[in-house]
Amino acid sequence: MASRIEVIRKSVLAKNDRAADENREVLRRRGACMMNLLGGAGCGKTSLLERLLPRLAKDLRVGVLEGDLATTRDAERIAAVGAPVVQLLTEGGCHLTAALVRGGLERLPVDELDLIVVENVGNCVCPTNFDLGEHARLSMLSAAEGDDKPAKYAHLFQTADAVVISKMDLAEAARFNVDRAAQDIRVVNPHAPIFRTSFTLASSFEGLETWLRGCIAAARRPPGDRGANRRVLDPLLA
Amino acid sequence: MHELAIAQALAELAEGEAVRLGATSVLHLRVKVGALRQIEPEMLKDAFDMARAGRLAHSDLEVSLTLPIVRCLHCGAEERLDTFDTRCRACGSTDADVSGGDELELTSMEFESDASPAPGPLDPSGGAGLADRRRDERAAGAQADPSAAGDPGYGIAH
Repeated sequence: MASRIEVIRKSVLAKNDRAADENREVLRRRGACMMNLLGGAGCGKTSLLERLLPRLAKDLRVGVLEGDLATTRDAERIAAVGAPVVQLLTEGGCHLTAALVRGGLERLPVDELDLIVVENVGNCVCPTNFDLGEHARLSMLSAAEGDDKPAKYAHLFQTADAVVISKMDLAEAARFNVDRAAQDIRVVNPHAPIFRTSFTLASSFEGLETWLRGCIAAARRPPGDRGANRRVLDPLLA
Repeated sequence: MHELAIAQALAELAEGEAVRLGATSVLHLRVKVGALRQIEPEMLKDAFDMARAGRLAHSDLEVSLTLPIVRCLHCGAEERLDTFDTRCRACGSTDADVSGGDELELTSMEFESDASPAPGPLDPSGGAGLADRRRDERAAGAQADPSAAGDPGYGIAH
């Protein structure tokens, strides 16, 4: 029996990447935008949506895919603000996969939606490796978690299209140095806009809302235009 | 422990490749991992030991790390970095383009086989990293050709 060596050169995540490409195609045909919302457990992803969705609902239709290990509690909170929502349970899995999201998209009225938000499983590490077919990736960090997190979980921030620093109303109590956190984010991701939010301050969500509306508009444009929009999407650079 | 999910995906991909190549037993796998992925090579090897089965039961894994290339948009200096810090070493600017360093690729396989079937065509797109793919997709606005990944069970038959 002879042994031989074969060059392969295939992405380890090829199966997930193909499913992500299929999701992108489903969304492209329907002109819908999808945002992947990532961050650690308890950083305020669901709370962010509770603030953001009513603002967008004035003129846009938004659906949500809620990723969790267990329970439908987050889906119930989203349903309470009136958005169509599907709970995706990973049953112990630490991240969402493109295939799981595909199943969720089939249960949402995608034809009627402008935006689909995928709230990933609360985790700063694993979800960053799995493309879901999203147009934009929003990475979150709360002031309560500490200003050292961008340096520790660099991939979360390096792959982000925009970053939210939440719970800014707790910054003083948590001894959170926002300049230090922002500087560490800039080091790994020079271009992503950074938004600071407080659940108790409605106006703190304005910048994020504007950015998200830009993402939705870009997803509706013909594909050929899309590349040029990257910087326009960034309110700090526009 | 994202290494376990990666190891399971690797085992699944390698098993499929082993079947495609007519391998009876895989001896050695080489993977390329970009430093930006924050995957610890030793943990990936341990996780692969747990995930391997079937034709891969006796295979060992070799992990090589690749580093990102950072190009300063201010002064044009290029550097290969082993940290996440993209600040330009020459001029201190934080305005930089990062390329590579996010690879996650099965590069080659050594195996035993009874026969020697002709290998399939190489897949030129399969090795692109996530950031590259996302960037390319945005830049071109084009949809990646799903059939290009070379999975015989997927999409249009060639």
